[in-house]
Amino acid sequence: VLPVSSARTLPATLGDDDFHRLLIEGVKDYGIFALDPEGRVATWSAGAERLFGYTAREIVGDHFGCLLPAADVEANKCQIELEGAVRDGRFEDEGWRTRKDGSRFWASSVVTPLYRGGALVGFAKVTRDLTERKFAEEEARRYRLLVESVKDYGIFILDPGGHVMTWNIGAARLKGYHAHEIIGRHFSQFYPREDVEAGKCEMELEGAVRDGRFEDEGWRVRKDGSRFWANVIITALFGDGGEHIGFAKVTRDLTERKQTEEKLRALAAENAALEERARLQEFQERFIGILGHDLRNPLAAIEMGAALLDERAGDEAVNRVARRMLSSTHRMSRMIEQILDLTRSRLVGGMRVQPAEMDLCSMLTAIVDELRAAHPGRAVELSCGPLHGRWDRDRLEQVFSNLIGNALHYGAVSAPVVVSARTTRGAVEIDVHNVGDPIPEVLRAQIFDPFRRGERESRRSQTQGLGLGLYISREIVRAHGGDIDVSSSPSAGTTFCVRLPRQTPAREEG
Amino acid sequence: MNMPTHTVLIVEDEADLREMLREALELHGYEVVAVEDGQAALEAAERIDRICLVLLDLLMPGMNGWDFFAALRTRPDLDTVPVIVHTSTPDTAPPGVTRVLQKPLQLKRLLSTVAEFCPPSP
Repeated sequence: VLPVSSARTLPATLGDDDFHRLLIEGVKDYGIFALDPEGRVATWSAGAERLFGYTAREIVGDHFGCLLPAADVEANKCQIELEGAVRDGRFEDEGWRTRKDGSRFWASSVVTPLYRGGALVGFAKVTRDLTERKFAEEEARRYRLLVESVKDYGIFILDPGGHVMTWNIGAARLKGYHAHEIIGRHFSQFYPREDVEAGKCEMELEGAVRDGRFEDEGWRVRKDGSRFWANVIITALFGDGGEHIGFAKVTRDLTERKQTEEKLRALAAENAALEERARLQEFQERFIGILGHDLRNPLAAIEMGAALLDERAGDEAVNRVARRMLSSTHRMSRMIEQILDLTRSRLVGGMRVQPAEMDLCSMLTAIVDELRAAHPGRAVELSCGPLHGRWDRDRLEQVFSNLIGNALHYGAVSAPVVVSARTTRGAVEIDVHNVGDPIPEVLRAQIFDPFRRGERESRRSQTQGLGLGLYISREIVRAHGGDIDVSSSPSAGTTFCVRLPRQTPAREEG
Repeated sequence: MNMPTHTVLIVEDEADLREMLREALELHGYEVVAVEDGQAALEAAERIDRICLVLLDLLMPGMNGWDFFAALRTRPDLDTVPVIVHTSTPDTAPPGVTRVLQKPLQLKRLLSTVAEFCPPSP
């Protein structure tokens, strides 16, 4: 750095023209000053004072290196500038400058060599403060960078007609188009056809213009045709004069959130259903409890009392009454039993059976023996060999007592009821046959239905309970994985055929 | 007066049924104590000299049949007394009971069962 005292003595070789001096002094936005051939400040304008903060008195005579950051001076930038200007006729650059107070500003400067009579007499340096422009540019660049590099949001601009004007990485990632494939295309490309046909695109743009902003959630279509659930915000863009210049559109992929929401919703619904089922289950269990326990207790007392009366009374009339009471309690018991079975099969999700190894033929023999004893004078023929399998003995007893009992009840008195069993592959089939009036066509179709219509009126006897016997029989057989069929005609009579797999399939818990 | 040597203990909360069972057994010559729940039954069991049989309901308010049976089996002097469960839910009878009878119980069945365990009073 040159001593200030020596600088003061330098002659002012420029500025002898007053007009030029006034012009230069008057320009406030440019710092215009001259350097001597060594780079010392020779003249100093008002603009330069404004820019750098030095007065002419303070700066004239000092080397212009004091106007640059120390790092630039160390990098010999002053020398490079002046040599460049001499070599090329001018030297132009942009960079940081240092003010008197140490603060910096971004400047562009042009250095021009000045000659007189072919000899270099100095340099003219014009400096302009570009800080604001630089910041604005920088901000725009950063903003562009930001928008372009945002990956999770599709951010792009539409022209007022809805054509894509810009495209960022997020949009490319979300929608699958590269910028060159989509710029210039209409944004309806991103909407499902039904939405386009319904006029959704126009409606959204109109909404954005009207309200400034339009937000929507819905399905959008990728380039490959797949869909994603998007949150979309369209903002109308207006110029300084208020004219509509387009739209900014921000799109976010919410598919995952939507899926999560849907899962949660499904879960909530499932929970509600489970709770409802638990409530129903509790109700059913209570109901079954009432049937099974609460109703049977008083019945047991009545039955016990009637039996005692029958046993103790010496009076024939009392005995008759007691026996009527007994038969009524037995009927009532059977009906409760049937309602319980119906409830189990209808409400609690099916009849449960407990299969164990057994011989069906010996079971049938026992039932037939019992019925023969109860119906003296009636013939029951049974033909079967050993029929081993895994079934629920108590439940099958119920089925065949019912079927054979029905055959005796409805069949012709003069003809035997025939029970025959045969084996097929992996199953056994048992026919229970009687001759006599066939089952009317209309009744046959619904013979296994509970509480079937017409049954109550046409029933020949009141001893049959609730008309649930066949329904329950079929439920029991089905719980074993089998089925029951009926065929009936005037010539062939009536045959119920029970088919039972030898192994009861495992019950699906539900 | 001879003290009866064998007593049937009936535990049943339903009063009509309890009294009917008592009536039936007394008419057939048995000494009967009938109570309404497990707690009363335990107290009665302490008092009664020789119990030949407990006829036990399961579903009862207060101490139920299951709890009574468990408690009875911890009493050294009572742990071998035959217990016949008389219930509408035979599947739920506790293991270790002497026999399970389904309600409603017919008079003949009641009498034949009791006769197996208790000789009638002279």
